[in-house]
Formats: sequence, structure tokens, C-alpha cells
Amino acid sequence: MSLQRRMLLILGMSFSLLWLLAAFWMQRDLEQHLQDTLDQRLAASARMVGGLITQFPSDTWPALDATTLSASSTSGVACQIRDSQGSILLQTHKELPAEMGHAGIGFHNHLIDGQPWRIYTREENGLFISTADRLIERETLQRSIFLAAALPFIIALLGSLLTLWLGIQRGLRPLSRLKTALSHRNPASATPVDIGPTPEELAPVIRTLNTLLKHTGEILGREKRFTSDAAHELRTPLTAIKTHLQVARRIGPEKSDIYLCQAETALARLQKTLEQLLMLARVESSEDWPKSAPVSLRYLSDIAIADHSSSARLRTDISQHSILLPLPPELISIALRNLIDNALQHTDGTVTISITIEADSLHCNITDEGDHLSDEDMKRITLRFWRKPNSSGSGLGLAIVEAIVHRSGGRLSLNRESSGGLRAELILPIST
Amino acid sequence: MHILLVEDDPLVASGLCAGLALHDFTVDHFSNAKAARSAMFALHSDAVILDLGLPDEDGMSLLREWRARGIHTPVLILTARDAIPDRVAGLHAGADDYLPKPFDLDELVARLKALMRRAAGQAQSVIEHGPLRFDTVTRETYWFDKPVNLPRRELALLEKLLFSRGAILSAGQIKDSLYGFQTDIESNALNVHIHNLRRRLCPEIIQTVRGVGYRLGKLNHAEHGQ
Repeated sequence: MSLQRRMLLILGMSFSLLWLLAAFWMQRDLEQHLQDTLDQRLAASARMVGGLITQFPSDTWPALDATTLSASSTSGVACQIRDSQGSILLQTHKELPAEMGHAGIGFHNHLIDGQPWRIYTREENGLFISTADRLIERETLQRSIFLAAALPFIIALLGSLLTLWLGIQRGLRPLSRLKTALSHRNPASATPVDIGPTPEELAPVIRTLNTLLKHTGEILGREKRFTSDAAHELRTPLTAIKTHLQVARRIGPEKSDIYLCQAETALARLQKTLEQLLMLARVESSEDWPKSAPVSLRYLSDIAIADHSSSARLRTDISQHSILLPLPPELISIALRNLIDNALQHTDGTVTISITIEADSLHCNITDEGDHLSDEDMKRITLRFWRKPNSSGSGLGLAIVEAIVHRSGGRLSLNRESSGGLRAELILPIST
Repeated sequence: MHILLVEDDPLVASGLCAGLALHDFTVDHFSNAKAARSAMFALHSDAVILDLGLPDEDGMSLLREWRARGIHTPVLILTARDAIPDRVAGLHAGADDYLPKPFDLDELVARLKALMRRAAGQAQSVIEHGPLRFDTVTRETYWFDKPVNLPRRELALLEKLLFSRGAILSAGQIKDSLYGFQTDIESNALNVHIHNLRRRLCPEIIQTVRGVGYRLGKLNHAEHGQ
């Protein structure tokens, strides 16, 4: 059930119930008061008549014919005066029987000609004065009073229900705007939700939603860029291979060597990019890597520089320790090797590798004397597939290093040296 | 016909140059936007193959700049980014065609030829001019329904004239189309080719417009009957 309908139902029902209870209570009170007032009217009339008749001498009465004073019998208070023997001396309604007096002194209900009457009888100087009115008249009066009171009451009740409905609808308008905004939006879209003026209670919801959307949008953007970049990096060598092979086939076997060679070069690049991508995927996956056995720092650096062991441009400073690494040493070596490869590629000078242990962490510093990297380059250096123009790398090396560092709980910092080269510092947690 | 190739990847570029040369295109390759920009103003290219991911500038902005300057040379975008929005953006920026990498060499050549035909206002693949019939796809040439074997440069010269549909071409335009940036051309090489082509077909095939250049001459079917 919608929030609006539920509120309307709960509030509307409570409203109606309270108003009905109030109405019931009022009706009961009113009825009691009305009866009392009408009774008082009977008693007052009787007293007045009593007061009047005491002014006359007592022998006036027998001379009178009872019907003389009879008035119209349709409505109003009836009055009958009897002597102590029960003979009617005076009466307002001629059909009134003498039995009115049988009811006795005080208030009584009595049937006269099948109609219920309310009778009040009092004694005054040996005369009995009865005043009476029809209960039907009382009911009619009561009904018209109720009707007069109930009409504004019902209008007020309906009015308050209508106000309630309008108020709830108006109050919940931001919610319904949010509902419309959400149901009309493209699920893949990352644009912020805007519903115009937002009430205080909804503001945090919208804010959180928009923050989340922005975040998702950024992730999606990164994903998209990565896919697009990966496609570019894979398709470019593929294009080179395909084109060179097509040319080689067309040009005939005697001249095709150079094109086949080019195709192979492109193939090697494709293979390297694929391997790097797979490596990145493996490091980033949730695959469990075994913890390593104690390994010497010398061993670590040996695998890292295996491809360049004969290079005169490498200077190493490695302490004699054995340590326990958070990841297999081969993986750590890949990170080191990528940093060393980068350094060697971007410098014609010396690359200094120092691997030392400080407190409970492993510090690997790789410093080159390479060309200057611009501020812009420094910003993009760890972006996937970014590489310096005309560089032969895949642009994934540093991304792999970062992924490995992330897995091992360490950190990587890249800083420009004052001399212009780049210093890569890899800090990994270890247990000796 | 001269192709300006703008591609940053040296391996892809060398393959394209070789592949297009097999189809007798004159190709000049530039690997960045800056060089391509100057080449566009220096050369009269018949078509451009443009890679979008250039190291110094986005190929798309280069294309927009050319179009804004009123350069109408057909441009074929060649890129590894093949998302539909990329393609649409490329075509909106003024490209005439879009081919995702990796592509087939034959398809690339067919598309280039189609672009050039369209630029020349020629819908059919066979151009007929008086007694001359030229197939733009196979480059077979018939003179009075007899096949003629033309040497490479003369064929290129004839092709250029036919595609220009009677417009006057300067010597520079024709040279660019035949040689591109190649510098070791003898000064009278073009005259030699013109002379040879006239000799092989008929003298009126090329009309010299004094002080301006050359154009395809009007041919009367009957006059040259053999």
C-alpha cells in the first residue's frame, strides 16, 4: 500500500472515530439536558398555573364547565386542573382524561389515547394541577435540534477529511516527485537526481543517492575507458599483423620477408600486451597466493634483473637478509622488474637499485637518470595504457606494480629527483 | 592518386604504406597531428586516412579544423575505438567514412576508391570518356574497346585527369598525385608522362591550358576511329 494511502487511511479513520465519539457523547448530553429543560418547563407552567388559581376563591370552580377553557389540542403544553375528587375543573385540551391524575404527584410518563405523554402533577390548595406534553413532540424537537447540530458537524468532518487528503498529498509531493524522477530515468544513467525543492527529511537521501550515482558513474567511466584502451592496445598490433600478412601474400614469397618480419614484431607486441593484461587480471583477482618461505633479498633482485644481469648500467645495493614476504617472491620480482624495465627504458644513464630492510618493512628504491617527466606526465603515469609517446611499452607495467603493491598491503611512491630522473619507492610489509 | 596517411603506430603505418602502394596509390605517412597539418597545406591529397589516437592531438580536432577551413578532401577515419558514439562523432566531425581496426586491406582500398569516386561526382565504377573506358576498380583501360596497357605513372595521370572531370589541374596538383613528397623527380618527368600518354591514346586527351595547367580534353568518338 502506498505511503499516501496508508497515512490517509490511518488518519482518516482515527479522525472519523474521534468525531463520531464526540458526536455520540454530545448527543447523549444534549438529550439529557433537553429532557430536563422540558421537564422544568412543565413544572414551571404548573407552578405558574398554581400561583394563578390561588388568586381565585375556592368556590369559583364548581360553577365552571370543564370544557369552557379547552383550547386547541394540537400541540404545546397541556394543563388540567382537578379538585381533590378527581373532577376536572379546567383544562387546555378537551380530550385529556381525568386519569391524568392517577399517575400521582411529580413527573410520570402516561399513555393517553395510545399516545405517550409526559405529565407533571402538583397539589396547590387542594387542587391538582397537571401539566403535560406529548413525548412525540419532544422527540420531534430533539430530532430537529440534532439535525441542526449535526449538519455543520458532518460538513466539518468531511471538510477535515478533504483537508487531510489535500495536506497529505501536498506534503508527500517531494516523494511523488522522487518516484516520478526515478521511474523515468535510464537505469544506466549516472546523472544526478533532481526533484527541485527538497524537504529536510529527503535531502540526505537525495544527497547519498547522488553521491552514489556519481561514484558509480566514475567507476563506469573508468571501466569504459579501460575497455576502450584495451581494445585499442590489442587491435593496433592486430591491425599491423593483418596488414603485413596481406601485403606479404600479395607481393609473393620472394619479397615477403620484410613484411613477415614486421608482422612478427607486431605479434610480439600483441603477446606482451596480452601477457601483461592477464598478469594484471590475475593480480587483481581474488586468487589466493601462497605465503612465501623465507627468501633472500639477493634472490629477489636476481630474478628481477635476470633479463638485464649483464647490463653495465645497473648498480645494485642489496643487503644480506632473508625475509618472509606477503606474496610469492616471483610476484614481488615482477613488480621490481617492471620498475627496473621502465627505468632502463627511460634513461641512457645508470639505474640504481637498493633493497634494504627498515623496521618491519622492505624498502626498494629504483632511481634512474632519465629524461624529465612533465607535471602532466606525473599525473597520468599510473593510468592504464598510458605511456610516453614513442615508447614501446604496453602502458600496463606500473598498473601491475600498483596492483601487486595493493595486494601485499604496501605502497608505491613515484617522485621526480632534482636531477630529473624518477625515483620509484616500493615499501612492502614483511616478517623476518 | 595521393593518400595522406596519418597514423602514429609505425608498424601499422608501414603495413598500410606497403599495402596501398600495391594498389598504386601514392602514400605519404605522418605520425603526428602537427606534421599532418603542414602536409595537408603543402600537398594536394586525393584522400586522407586518419587515425584518431595521435600522440600530440586528437585526430578528431584535426579533422574539425580542416573542415572549418573549407578543406573538402575525403577523409576516412581508421581507429581501434569502435564504439558507436565514437563512429557517430567521427562522421559528425566531417569524416566521409569510418573503418575500425583491424580491417581488410581490400575493403580499405574499395572504400578509398568509393570515396574518391564520390568526390568526383561519379557513381558508377566505370568512367566513359569518348572512346575511352576506364574501370576505377580494376584500373583496366580500354581505347575503342581494346585494352591498353599503360605504365604505372601514365595510368595514374590518366586516372587523376578522369577523376577531375574536366577541371583544370595545376602541374603541382598532378605531381602531388603522382609522386607525393618524393623529391628526387626529374623536372621534366611530368611532361614526359603527358607526352607518352598523348602518344599512346591521342593528343587531345590532355588539353594544355597555358599558364594554368592541364585538363582532360574533349574527345569525339568518330574523329579518332582507327
